[in-house]
Amino acid sequence: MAQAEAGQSPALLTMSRCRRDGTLALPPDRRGCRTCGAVGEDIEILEIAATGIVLDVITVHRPLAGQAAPYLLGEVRLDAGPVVKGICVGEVARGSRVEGRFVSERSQVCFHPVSGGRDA
Amino acid sequence: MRDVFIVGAGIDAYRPASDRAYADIGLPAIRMALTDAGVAWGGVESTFVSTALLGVAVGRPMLRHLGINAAPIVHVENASASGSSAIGLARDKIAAGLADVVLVVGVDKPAMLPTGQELVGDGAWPGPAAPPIILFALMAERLSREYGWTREDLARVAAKNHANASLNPAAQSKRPVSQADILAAPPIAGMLTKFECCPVGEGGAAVVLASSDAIARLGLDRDRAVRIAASVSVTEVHNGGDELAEIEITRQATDEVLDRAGLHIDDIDLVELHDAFSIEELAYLDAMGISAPGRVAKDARAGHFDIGGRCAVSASGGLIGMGHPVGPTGIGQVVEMVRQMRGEAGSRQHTRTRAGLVHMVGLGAVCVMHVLTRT
Repeated sequence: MAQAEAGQSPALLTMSRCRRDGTLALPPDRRGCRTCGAVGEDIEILEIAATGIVLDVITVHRPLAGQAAPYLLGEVRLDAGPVVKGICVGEVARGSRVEGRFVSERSQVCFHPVSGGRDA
Repeated sequence: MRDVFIVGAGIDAYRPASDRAYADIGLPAIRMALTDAGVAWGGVESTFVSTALLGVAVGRPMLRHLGINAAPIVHVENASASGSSAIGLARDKIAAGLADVVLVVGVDKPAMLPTGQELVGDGAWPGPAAPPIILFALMAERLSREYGWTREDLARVAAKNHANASLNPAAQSKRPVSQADILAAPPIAGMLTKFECCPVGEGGAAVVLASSDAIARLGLDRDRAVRIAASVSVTEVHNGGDELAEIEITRQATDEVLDRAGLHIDDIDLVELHDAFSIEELAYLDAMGISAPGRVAKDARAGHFDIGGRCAVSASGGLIGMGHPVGPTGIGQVVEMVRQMRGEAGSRQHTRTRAGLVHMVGLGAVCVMHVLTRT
């Protein structure tokens, strides 16, 4: 789903928009719109940049789900709309503007702080 | 629709995983429930088996040791709400006049099975897997900011439930844990410590449901019967906003189940609540409207939700204290409610309970609630 190459900044993500009712979905609703059930050509696939604002961030103190601890786990509202959870790297707090960068060895997008935040 | 009553309740103590076979956990709970009801196995007209983690067709290899009975067996899986949904289906069957005596049994042993969301293959967001504790640690972070709840408030919830569990022989958590102990424990994720997370172990719980006709026909003790006044299930819908789904479906299910029972939240004397994590208890109590808006943490500090308070919450110890073996959990809550309503809860007996609210949230998310009453 992350189409970007490792380190490219920011990562590109695949999501969907329903042409009938505008519902956005990430991961994309390829099997049908979660709001109206529209399917097939009514589901438009979009690529969006993994940029957004941190809504909340916590420290995870134990190695949960295969991640070495401690690490920061943030809830990020992407500029494109959806809210996702991802590992945050560096000085990240609520309101931070972040961009997700693809880390190929983890097959993951991790969020890094960029300038222009604190407007969550 | 006919009235439906719980006439028997049984439980096999929740405990950490052992080498006991599941049938040796489920059968004692069933036999206890049948004996409590005064109903013979041959009189059971339908059985619902609640299990989420054991595997395929686990009912019959257990139930056959009760003797011959050709009545239907159906397995029910609804994640954490499996047992609650099984009770709902059993109630529906009796209410509709399709059976007079129905057994509901929950039994499980811990196992790691993939969830639908993991299997569905819709191309997950390329982030880390977020186990429940992370989701609820994020909920705690957000709600403590929005409502002013503190780590101390969350620790108090867990301390209350561990204290209640220490009085419950069926509970997995055996010793009280103080608020200070909890605050001194290292956090696992965000502000949540291990004492604020439910243990998932093995266990069995069973109830026998009967119609009014069956109570009369079989000569059962009507004075010990507890009525299921209403039972509802609500499923999450995506709303495109940032509402917390588990809280929203709890709010909807509470309104619906109380409306169907013809009661108001102020009529409720005891709540058995889905507290897989400490934050959930405050969040769901607030959603239920059990306190005036913004007052739930203050009321908790004042002891309103303690045993003997104005509305006890999870006298059993809840999921944090009693444990969460999954398939049995929603049935074990009802076992507790029945014992409390009959005055058979021993050292954790709450003040007289005439109306009780039982609440579970399952992955999905779904919220299943019942109102139980005793006249």
